[in-house]
Amino acid sequence: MTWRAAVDYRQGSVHRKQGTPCQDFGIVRKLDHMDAVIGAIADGAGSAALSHIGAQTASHCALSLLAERAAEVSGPDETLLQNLIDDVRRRLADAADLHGCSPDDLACTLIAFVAWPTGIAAIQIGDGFLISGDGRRGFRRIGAGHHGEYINETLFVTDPDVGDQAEIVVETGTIRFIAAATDGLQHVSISSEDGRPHQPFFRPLNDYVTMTANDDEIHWGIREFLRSEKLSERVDDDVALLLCGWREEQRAGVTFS
Amino acid sequence: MRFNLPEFVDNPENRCPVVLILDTSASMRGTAIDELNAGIRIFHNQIAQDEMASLRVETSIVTFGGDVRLVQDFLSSDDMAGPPTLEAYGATPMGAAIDLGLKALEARKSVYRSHGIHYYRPWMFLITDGAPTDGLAWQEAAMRAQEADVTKRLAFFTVGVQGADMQILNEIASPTRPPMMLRGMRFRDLFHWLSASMRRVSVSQINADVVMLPSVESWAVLEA
Repeated sequence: MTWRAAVDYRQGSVHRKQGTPCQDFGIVRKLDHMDAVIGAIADGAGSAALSHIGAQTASHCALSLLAERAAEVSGPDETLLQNLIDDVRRRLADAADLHGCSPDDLACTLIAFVAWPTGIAAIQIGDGFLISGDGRRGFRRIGAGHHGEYINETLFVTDPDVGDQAEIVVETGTIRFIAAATDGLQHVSISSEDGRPHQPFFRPLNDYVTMTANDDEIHWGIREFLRSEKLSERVDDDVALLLCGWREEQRAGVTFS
Repeated sequence: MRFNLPEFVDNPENRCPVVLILDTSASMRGTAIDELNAGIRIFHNQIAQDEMASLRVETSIVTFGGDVRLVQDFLSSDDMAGPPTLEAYGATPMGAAIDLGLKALEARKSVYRSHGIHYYRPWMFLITDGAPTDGLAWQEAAMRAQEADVTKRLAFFTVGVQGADMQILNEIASPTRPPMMLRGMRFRDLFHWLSASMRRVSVSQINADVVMLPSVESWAVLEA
């Protein structure tokens, strides 16, 4: 048994026209020897000059910290996320020095998680969403996400009061599917009335990721979806989408007749 | 494995409310009211022609001339047959008009909230060619409007037309957004700018404070 996982992102039509780089980013890594998968996605603030670099820096930093820490534990544990924001903020401050800008120029949201088939530890700063499925009862949201009163206002890793407002979730329970995305996908996948995931949106993604043979193919599937006409008609913002599925089969490398 | 496209949830459009608080007192008679009406029609047409803005921008109109009236209560251009034609008469009860605008906005926000509709920061846009005639009601109303602007409950813009008491308008305006003076009778250019601004806000993904608005050069004289 093993995780299947892939991530992709695309530039929205508005940013393409303006010549602004894609500000959304995502990264995923599997730790097959311990049945864990680690993911991070970030959405650079439209108002910040180098936020695409912020999104990349924050995602890479969160991923490598979580990979180190996951090696020390056997499942979801509070210690995974302790001071994670401080470390990411420090890395952003270093990156700001390097680029000769202020950390605010690197403002971005961040969702990062470590998941096992038996539970998940996740942190969310700002908007976007993290969804899990247990393979039976449908899909639910992990964390509520944060946007201010107005749809175009959110929380960024670089905000001064971020420590109090970051959402941290550590829970045990069956995990068979994970989807993480930036806010570009929110309007088409999460009901704005009750904040719940739209099940017919996530079901095909779940089927695809749990039944596809390898990660490259999943990557191409996500890529195709993000660039599909149907999605582009509805979403002109940048988007990042990360999918993981726990596949009930022999681990690669084990042969059987 | 074939990738089956996910089914999208049918969420209501995000809304972008704007309330126009318009001086229709007797001093607006003649060219001013005609040009104001032409400007409102331009605003309506420009929004209606924009695919996204026509669904998202909702406009309410409060007039103050003789009495204070809510002549239009938050309609999107899709729901609106056409803008009303305003007539000018009477005194200038500006304070009560600002209050009605604030109330209408708060009421609209609670409708959005109860229906799970996401929205952008509302705009309140006051245009006058005079000075308030409803005693000191304007002072308290202005304080409420300024507080709403400073605490980001709305963005409060004020425009003076020739003859406006700019000193009082300065006191009414939010400290962060000083009043602007209309160049001559350039109402049409003003409403061109307003519709272009609302179209930008209604597709913005970023903090409303930093949405790049078009230049006001075509219609405004910035007050020193």
